[in-house]
Amino acid sequence: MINLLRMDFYRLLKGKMLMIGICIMVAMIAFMTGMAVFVESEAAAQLIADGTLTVTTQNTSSSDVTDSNSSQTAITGSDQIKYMNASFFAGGSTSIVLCILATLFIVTEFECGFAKNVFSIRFNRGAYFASKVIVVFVLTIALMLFSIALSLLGATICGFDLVASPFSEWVQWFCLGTLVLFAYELILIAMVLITRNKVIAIIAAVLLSFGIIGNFLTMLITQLMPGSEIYKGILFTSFMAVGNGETGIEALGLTVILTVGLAYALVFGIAGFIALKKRDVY
Amino acid sequence: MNIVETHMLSKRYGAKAAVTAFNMQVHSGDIYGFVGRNGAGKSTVMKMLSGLATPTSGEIKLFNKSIRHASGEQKLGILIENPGLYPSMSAYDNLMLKCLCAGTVNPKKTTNQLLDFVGLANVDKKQSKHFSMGMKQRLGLALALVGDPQLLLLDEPLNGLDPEGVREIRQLIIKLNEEHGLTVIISSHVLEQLGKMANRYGIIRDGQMVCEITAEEVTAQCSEYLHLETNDANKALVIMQEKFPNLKCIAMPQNAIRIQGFANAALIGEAMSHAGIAVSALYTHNRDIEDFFVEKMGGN
Ligand SMILES: Nc1ncnc2c1ncn2[C@@H]1O[C@H](COP(=O)(O)OP(=O)(O)OP(=O)(O)O)[C@@H](O)[C@H]1O
Ligand SMILES: [Mg+2]
Repeated sequence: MINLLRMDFYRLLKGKMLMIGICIMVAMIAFMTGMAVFVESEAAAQLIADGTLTVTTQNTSSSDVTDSNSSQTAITGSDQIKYMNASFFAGGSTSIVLCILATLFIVTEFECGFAKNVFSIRFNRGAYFASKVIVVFVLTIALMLFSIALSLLGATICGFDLVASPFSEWVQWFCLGTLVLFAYELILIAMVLITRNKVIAIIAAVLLSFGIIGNFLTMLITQLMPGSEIYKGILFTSFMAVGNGETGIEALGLTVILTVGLAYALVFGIAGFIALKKRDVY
Repeated sequence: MNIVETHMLSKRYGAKAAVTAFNMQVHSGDIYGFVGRNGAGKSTVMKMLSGLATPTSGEIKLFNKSIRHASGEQKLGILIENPGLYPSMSAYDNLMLKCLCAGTVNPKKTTNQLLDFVGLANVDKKQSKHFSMGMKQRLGLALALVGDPQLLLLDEPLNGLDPEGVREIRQLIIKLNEEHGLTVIISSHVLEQLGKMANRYGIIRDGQMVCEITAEEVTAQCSEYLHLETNDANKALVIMQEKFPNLKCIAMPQNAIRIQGFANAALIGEAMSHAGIAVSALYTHNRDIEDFFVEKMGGN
């Protein structure tokens, strides 16, 4: 399995896929940060017009001021995790890039036929599956950290005065975020291993990571079964909750997010593994 | 020793049986020509041998071990249907990936050696999608050679090569077989090309093994009859019946006689001249090898 991992990481680092993904993330985060600057100046102008804020104010009272306004608008004084969510998580760059990257990474191996070279020297496909899951997991953590660093760097450069989130809150948010994204990726891996079709896989990745399927399901449930709790079982609900930071996580409940995330990861992990075991490689 | 052995191997795709009760034996050191018409099941057999496709039923033994319980790295190199290259990566990177996968001790060195061996040493950073068909086949062969395989499964490896390329690759295959002791199973539609390499053949028809046969047996089976032309066919026939009652003689037009059975041309010639018959032609007629195969493969 070490050999398979070495092969996968070599391809990840030598190929263009990861570089392109990172460039897209940098561009999207830069764009989000730019938007934040714009929103911030608008909000400030609004506050000045209301007479609730003087231009030079950079003290404790500013947080009170922002709280009294819609939480979306003012950035200065908001905490780090809240800022993260506004700019990249719910904003989507990390999840979109990760989902598409993971999908492409695995589907190309089948699409171009290189998988034949791999399976013909290792008849045991368990190790293959494990190595792919590990690569995707490592990729998720690496890109999460990367976008956090980049977002906070952007905030610092633009002079947003963010309140540091406590470390424990960071850890919880990071773990839940990783879990939910990882579950998404396992759904897509299963899709790839079942269909072995690049076009279908990419469409699935886009529909999932842009939240199109999630929104559709949520709408369906609220329309057909108003008041039902089923929506909690959708991975998208957990995704949005984590995307809303501490408040979102509290509202949905930590256990719900953990259960849903793990359940999806497990079910689709097993489905993908069975498909890999059973299906012939051409 | 048998390197490959299959027993009642079958593969169904839905209702369609691609391979049925297929028995194959490839000996160590063989260059085994695997022939059959389009859709006969050659690729399907090769995919099952290399663990890519799961048999519906039957048994496969590689190196005397059932592949059901295979674990670890297989000493197997394949080039089946297409070389399976990452299109946006160079020949070097494609080979590096396979070397890493196979756990090759010195991947960079091996990669460079293999590029050299198949004649792709100077393609540099060119992406494999810009390769010619022949270059892709060469890289495919190099990929198959990663990990020091003892058995090569090559499905139509000469496809898309120009005559010179065909010759080079054929020589590479022979070299691998003779100098490195690799056993090779090679399928091709072009029987003439196989004829220059193979020492044994397996003929598959509608998913079943028609026969396994050595190259010598093919030659023997194809040397069909003696052709005798004399100035007096009737007298010659009488002499033949007298002296060689076991041989079957058929009178042909233009004073020719076709002699079937294990005939000794020298003795017949002697008998004719002894009887004062002038022989204008006496030769072994070889049946076209291609005809022989086409007939076995179920052609028309
Ligand atoms: N994935 C598949 N699904 C359904 N049928 C298949 C599949 N692969 C092969 N077959 C069928 O199995 C039979 C054998 O195909 P196979 O590719 O093994 O033939 P082949 O001898 O390699 O032919 P060719 O010389 O054209 O390469 C064919 O009838 C083919 O239609
Ligand atoms: Mg074929």
